[in-house]
Amino acid sequence: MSVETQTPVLFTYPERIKERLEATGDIIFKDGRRVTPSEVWRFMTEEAPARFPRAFDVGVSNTERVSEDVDFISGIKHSYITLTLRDRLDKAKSDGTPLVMIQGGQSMEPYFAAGALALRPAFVNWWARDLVDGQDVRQADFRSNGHLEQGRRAVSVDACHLVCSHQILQEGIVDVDLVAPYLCLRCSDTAYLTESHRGRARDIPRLMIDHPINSNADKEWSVDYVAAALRRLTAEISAITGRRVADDDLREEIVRHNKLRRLAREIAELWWAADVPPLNSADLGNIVGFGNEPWLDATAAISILEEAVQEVKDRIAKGVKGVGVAHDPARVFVCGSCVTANPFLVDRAGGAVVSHDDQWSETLVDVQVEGDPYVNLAKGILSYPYEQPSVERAEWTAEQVRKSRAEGLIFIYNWGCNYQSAVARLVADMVKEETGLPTVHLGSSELGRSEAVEQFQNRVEAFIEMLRLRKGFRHA
Amino acid sequence: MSIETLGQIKAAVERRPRELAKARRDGAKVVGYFCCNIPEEILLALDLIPIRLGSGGDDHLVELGGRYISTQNCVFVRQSVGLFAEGKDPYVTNSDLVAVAGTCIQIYRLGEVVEHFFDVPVQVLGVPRNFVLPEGKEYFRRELENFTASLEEFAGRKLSVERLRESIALLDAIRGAVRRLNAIQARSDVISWRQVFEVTQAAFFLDRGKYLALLESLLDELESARLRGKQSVDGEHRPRIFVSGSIIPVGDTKLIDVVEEVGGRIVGDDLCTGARPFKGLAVKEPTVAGVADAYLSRVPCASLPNLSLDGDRRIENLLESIRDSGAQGVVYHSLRYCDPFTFKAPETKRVLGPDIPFVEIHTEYATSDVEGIRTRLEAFIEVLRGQRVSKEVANVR
Repeated sequence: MSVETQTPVLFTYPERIKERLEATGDIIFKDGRRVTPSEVWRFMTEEAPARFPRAFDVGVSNTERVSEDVDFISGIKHSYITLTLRDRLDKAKSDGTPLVMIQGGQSMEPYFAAGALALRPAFVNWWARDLVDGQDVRQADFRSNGHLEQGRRAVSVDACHLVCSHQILQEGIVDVDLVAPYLCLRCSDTAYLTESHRGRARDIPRLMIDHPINSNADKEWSVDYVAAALRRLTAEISAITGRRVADDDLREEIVRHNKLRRLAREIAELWWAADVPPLNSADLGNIVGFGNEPWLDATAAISILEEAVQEVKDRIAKGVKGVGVAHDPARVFVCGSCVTANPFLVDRAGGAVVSHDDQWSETLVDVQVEGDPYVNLAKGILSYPYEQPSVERAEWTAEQVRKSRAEGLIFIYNWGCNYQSAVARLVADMVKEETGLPTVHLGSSELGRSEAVEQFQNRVEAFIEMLRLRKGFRHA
Repeated sequence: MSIETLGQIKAAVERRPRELAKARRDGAKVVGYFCCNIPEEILLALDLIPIRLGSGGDDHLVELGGRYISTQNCVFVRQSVGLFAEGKDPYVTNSDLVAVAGTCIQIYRLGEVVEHFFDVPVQVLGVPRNFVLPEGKEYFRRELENFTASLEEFAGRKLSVERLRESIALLDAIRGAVRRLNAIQARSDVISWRQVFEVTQAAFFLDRGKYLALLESLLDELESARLRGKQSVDGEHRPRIFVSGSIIPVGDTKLIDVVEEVGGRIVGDDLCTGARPFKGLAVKEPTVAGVADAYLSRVPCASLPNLSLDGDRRIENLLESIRDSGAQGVVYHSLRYCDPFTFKAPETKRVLGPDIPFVEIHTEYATSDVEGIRTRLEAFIEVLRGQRVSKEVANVR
């Protein structure tokens, strides 16, 4: 008996958009390098599908894939940035640029100002995963899950997915020069995972930028404490590069990141106010996500964001709807751990993810330019709404839910995320009380992996279905 | 041998809730607190009554607490929330203020949750993760000054140097007495570790002056018994076990019961509810800064990450305590979702090396895994017995 196997048909960009893409600007990187739209087209239509077929499998469970909204050119450029991650990291490594593994969500200015590249843990995972070309979704999943399970065996089964990146470094699958995360108030595992490198096979240099708990914005000693840690960080990177970090280097980076945040905010606010959703959930999340995650290069992210603002404005003016999203979707605000609801699934169910409190919180906070940049950065870090005591955070979340015209809130926490899960009910209950909207809190076990996600997806779909019914009743 | 003072301590603990209620009626204020990094020196000097809150071993309370916090928090935290939800624990109900130290950040969340859902006033003391660095020490000084100012307002009085000096001396004497008690337990058979553990936990509740008097009486009684050759523990042939790891609070006897049932004799611990808080804490000057420096320099909880093994006081204390107690093996207790201790289990095993047998018991309060734990600990005890026999045979040869 023969068994027929079926290879999924991979997504391809239609030729009709090539001309539009080529009429747009270059992507300009911080080092002055420019990538022309023609190079983007060639990469996204020839090289990337061959090397990263996993990203072109548009199954609904595959969250790390390209968007099907091919007319949103900035979205294609965003995909270019994400799919060139490995190459850019390989190049940085060979150029001797210090690579620093950090923590999600927080301010990146000090790392970049010191001449390093700041990699969130997920970047380490993706870099390690994509070392092998030609993987489909299953193969990529299998490889990533292997790293995760190795980490859990080495440290603890109770660890969240962050253990994966630390294990990758321990095994030397990819290499960084420093592990220097913020111990921000999003995460209970980062500190102990950073500590877990001690006494192990690979002695990776490490330091922690502590984020003290509890109402810090007005405590000058908290500001001093964080500022001192930031100085220690830039000094540590300087020791690698041999180049002193001047205050003006930091200010320059602050200006750049303020611009990044402002552009991201503008797009989110345009989307929120629009009658017809101009982007699907994935494109909205990706583009606004640039505000806090510039994918190693804030200059490049800005060049894409500037075009994206115009594209979104044009779409709103013409009443163009993003591909895949409903005309009048049930709008969901997501909060919780460093994870979001699968945007493709939410769209398919008739919803839309309007924002995610994690990165959005940081995108809202601009850093003062004049004065001591370390103190200014510390003040900014300590004032992120997401990192405030939970009651204050919940009040802020309720305000964002209203601003974004969300119709429901999903609080999601990962396996092993003790810190976010602890306040899931508190935040969800408070938002419900303050807004009168439905809320739900959900545990996510395996973070966007394509296997064993059906229970989580089922709950998300049911919640959106409920929101849609509610919307229908209201309209009736 | 019956130890008379133990009965007195037990009776004092039983009376304590009524005493507290009366003290409050008479105008005293009670501060219930979580985590041994809340400096009792400051509370006592402000005439506040310190009570260490929290209990373990009750699945009903765990379930109750889990409705407000999360099933991905450790059972101690869940049960502690359950205490507030149930509203029957006399120490919880008699607390006018709850103080939490942010050493374990799940404890910090516990404070947020009980403040929100049960309208309990909560005061937080931030504890730096970078506690070994100068900026961490400076932060903690300022944070404790701020915490003290809030307590002064709550107490309606200012902290005086004289009262602080007195409370430092009292607590120093208690710590010294508990250390002596542990040393007697480890070196003789006049009192068991379990009895010492219960005496140590009485420190969480009793009037500290009366507690010191009871401790001194107990030490005298034990010394006298030792001189007369009296025995409370039949420990000669039982493998000597050191218990390390996550919190074992009042009420949680699951692991201790099984260790003893399978023939082990516990001779030492580094638990935050046991011997550890009584070690390595010396306040050098009667000021808030002096107290802050002493607390950050003590043997730390695993909740405070240390990026270097060299000079890690927690590890040093573990090794010293194992040596001083004459333990033959380590039972490492890690509560599920207690990341600080759970993540360090593999490292602890590496640090102890092949000469100190190590077993990790990863558990919760549910009884469903008791038989599994029993099997593992039986095997561990057999290993220790086997090693002892091997050593004896080697010595004979």
